Order: sequence, then C-alpha cells, then structure tokens
Amino acid sequence: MRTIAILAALATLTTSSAFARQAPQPDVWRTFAQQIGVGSRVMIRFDDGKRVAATLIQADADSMLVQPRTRAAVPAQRVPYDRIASMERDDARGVGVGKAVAIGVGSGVGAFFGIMLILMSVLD
Amino acid sequence: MIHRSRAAAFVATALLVAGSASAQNQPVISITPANRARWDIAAHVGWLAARTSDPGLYGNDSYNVGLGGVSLGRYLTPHLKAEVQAAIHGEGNLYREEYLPGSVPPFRVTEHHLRTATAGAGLFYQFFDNQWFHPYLGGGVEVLRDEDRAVMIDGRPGLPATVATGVSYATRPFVATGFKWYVTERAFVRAGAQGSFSSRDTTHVAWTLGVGGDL
Repeated sequence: MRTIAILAALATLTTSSAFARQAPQPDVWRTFAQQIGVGSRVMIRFDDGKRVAATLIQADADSMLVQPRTRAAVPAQRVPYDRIASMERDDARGVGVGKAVAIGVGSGVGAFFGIMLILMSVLD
Repeated sequence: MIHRSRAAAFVATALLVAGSASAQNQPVISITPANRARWDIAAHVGWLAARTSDPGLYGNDSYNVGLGGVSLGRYLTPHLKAEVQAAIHGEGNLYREEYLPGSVPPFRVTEHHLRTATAGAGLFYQFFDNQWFHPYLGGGVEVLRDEDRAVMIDGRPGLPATVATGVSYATRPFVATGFKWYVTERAFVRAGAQGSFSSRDTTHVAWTLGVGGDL
C-alpha cells in the first residue's frame, strides 16, 4: 500500500511539473525576431532545455527560419515561436576568432606542460 | 499477488513518466549534420608518470617517461564513441635495494629498466553536438606489456652483475578525460589525461597532446 502511495505521488509530481512549465510567449518572440533584423546572431533556448546558437534568416507570422551556427554545416530550419523559451542577441564581443584561438591554444599548451612539470617534481 | 500488483504499479508509473517526458521533448531543431563523421583517428605524444611499490624493498618508486600512441574511434551515436588505442613508452628506470639478513654484504641492489607498451579499448562520452570544442570522459580496459631488464649487483667484490630480462602482461581498467578542439570542420587537436590502476599499487597517469581527424 505504501509503495503504491509513493508511486502515485511520484506520478503526480512528474505530470504537474510538466504542466508547471512556463507558458509559451509566441507574440513576444515574433515581435523580437521581426525587430532585430535578418542576419542577426541569436542564442535560442527551447522549451525542452536545448540551446542553439543561430543566425536569423527570416521572421514569419508563426515561425522563423534560422541557420544554426555549427562546425559542420546543417540546413536552415524553421522554429515555431511557441517552442521558444527564451531568445537573445548573440553579438560578438570584441575578441576575434584568431585571437580567441591563439589565447586558447596558448593557455592549453601552457597548462598541459605546467601540470606535467608539477607532477614530475612531486613524483621525483 | 502483491508482488504482481506492485510490478504493475511500477510499470504504469514508468510508462506515465516516460510518456510525459517524450511528449514534452520533441526536438525543435537538429544540429547533427546528415553526413556526420563515423570514425575518428588520432596520434599523440605525451608524458607518463608511473608509480609502483614492492613491500620490503627500498629505492625509488616512480619514474617519468615520454610516450607516443595512436587511437581509432567509431562513433556509435553523436556523443558516444568506442575506441581502441595503443601506445609505447620510453624506458623507465627503478632502483631497488633488497635487505638480505645473514648475508655479507646484507643487501642486493637491482636496477630495473622498464619498457611498457599498452593496448586498450574503451567507451568515451563526448559532450556537445557539432561544436568546435568537445570535452570528453571515458573509461575502458587496457593490456600492458612490461619488459623488465633487471641488472642485479650482489655487492661482493669480484662478482659480476647479473642481468635478467623478463616480460609480463597485465590487464587493468583506465579512466580518461580531456577535450577535442576542432581547427577545421574535421581536424582537431586533442589533449587529455588518462590514469590506470592495479591491485599492486601501480599507478600510471599519462598526459597527452595529439592531432587527429574525423572520417
């Protein structure tokens, strides 16, 4: 009996948490998409929790067309406004790609050899 | 009967939870390319820190050597990869002194010159999908081939040193972590650390840096 009560409580909790999710705001995101302009870089968070960086290609009445910014190219895809949990502009902030790569590689290699030297001194 | 009803309740709850989860999570957008990579191949160099101990012996318990290796991975999903790997290590040296009560002199010195080669297989989880930077975690099992050239010095005047060479094999688990940083769509730099352990209190930690590509 106690097991069934626990299971019922778990089921209630799960279903109620699904309903308690934030209500979609399609009008807000439609207005936003139409105002920021084609070509804008955006960071979109969907109602399933997934985040995607993309470039806005077209903003229509019910959905927008975006090009995900990925390493290997993928097709442009339609995103219904009512599946968006949040969206914001994702503009570059001052550091170029080349500089970022140089900083990253330099710090990575430095950390790698630094850790090796520390380990060697500890073990010797 | 009670067990059966409990089982039915568990199944019903599991279906309810799974159903509610799948209803919420139809993906809106796919960032996995149609022709995603199935294989990855890489080569690396690095540094191995090895620690070992034998009870009753004196001497140094650790050594550091360079290493080089290759790996071949097969993507089972965009995140999960099965990988085989092989590496060879430089020669490590251990100095051991053994106490021999009643003998003159009461000790024996041995220099061990160790060369190790490893081959292993494991599963690796790669975070993120189709991005430029992918951290990973993994683990598996590796086989070690240890070649030990032991030079024994007895300590008594006039006795030459004796040399014995032996090869031993061992199997042990390993864990690994690191990152892949893509520099083009399919070529990457990979840095990582891999540790393996055994019941004889032997620890190997390898720090590696390499390059590779997706096929």
